[in-house]
Amino acid sequence: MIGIFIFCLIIVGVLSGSLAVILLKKAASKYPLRQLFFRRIFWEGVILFGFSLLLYVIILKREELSVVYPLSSISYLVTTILSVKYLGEKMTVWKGVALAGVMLGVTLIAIGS
Amino acid sequence: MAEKSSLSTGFLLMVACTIFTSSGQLFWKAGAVKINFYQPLTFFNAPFIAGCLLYVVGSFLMILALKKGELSILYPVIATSYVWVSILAPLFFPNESMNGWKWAGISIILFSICLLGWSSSRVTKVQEDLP
Repeated sequence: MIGIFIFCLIIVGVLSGSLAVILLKKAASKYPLRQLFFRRIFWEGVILFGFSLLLYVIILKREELSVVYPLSSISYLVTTILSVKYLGEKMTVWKGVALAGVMLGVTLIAIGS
Repeated sequence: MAEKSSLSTGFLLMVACTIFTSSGQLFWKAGAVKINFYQPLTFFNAPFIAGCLLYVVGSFLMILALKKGELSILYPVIATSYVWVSILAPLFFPNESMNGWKWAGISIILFSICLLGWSSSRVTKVQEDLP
C-alpha cells in the first residue's frame, strides 16, 4: 500500500507533465523554432516539464518502480484527454485501443519488475 | 501525401527522442547513488551530468517532433522508452533482468504504437481520397 502523500505527488507529477506537453505542443505548432526561445508559453512548458521530472525523481527514490510505473502511465490518458479538449484533436477508436494497450503494457512491465 | 510523410517523420523523431531520454535515465540511475540531497555538490558527478545532456537532446527532438503531427498520436510513442529501458537496464545493472512479464508488456506496447501509426496514416489517406 502506498501512502496518500506519494499518491498525491504522482498525480501532481502526471498533471504537470501532461500540461507541460500541451503547452510545448501549442508553442511548437505556433512559432518557428528560432522564435521559440523568446516565447513565454515555451518557457512555461519547459519549467512545468522540469518540475514534473523533479517530482518523478523524488518519487522514484521513495517508492517501488512497480507501483510508480502503472500510476504514471495515467499520463497517456490525461494527455490524450487534454489534447482533445484544448488542442481540438479528434478522438478515434484506434487511439483509444492503443492507449489501453500502452497502459496495459506498462502495467505488465511493472508486474515483472 | 505531404501530411502523411510529415507524421512518419514525427514518429521517427519521437522514437529517437525516447532513445536519448532512456539512455539519459540509465545514466541518471548510475549517477543517483552518488547524490546526497543535503550536499548539492554531489549532483555534479559525471554520469548524472551526462544523463542531463542526453535528456536535453531528447527533449529538443521531441519539440521537433511535435511540429509534425497531433499530440494524441505522437505522445503515446514516449512509451517506447519503457521498451529501451527494460532491454538496456539488465546490460548495465546486473541485478535487473528480463522475464516473461516484461517481454509481454514490451510486445503489447510496441503493438499498440504500431496500431496507432497504422490507423493514423490510414485516416490521413481516407481524408486525401475525399474530393
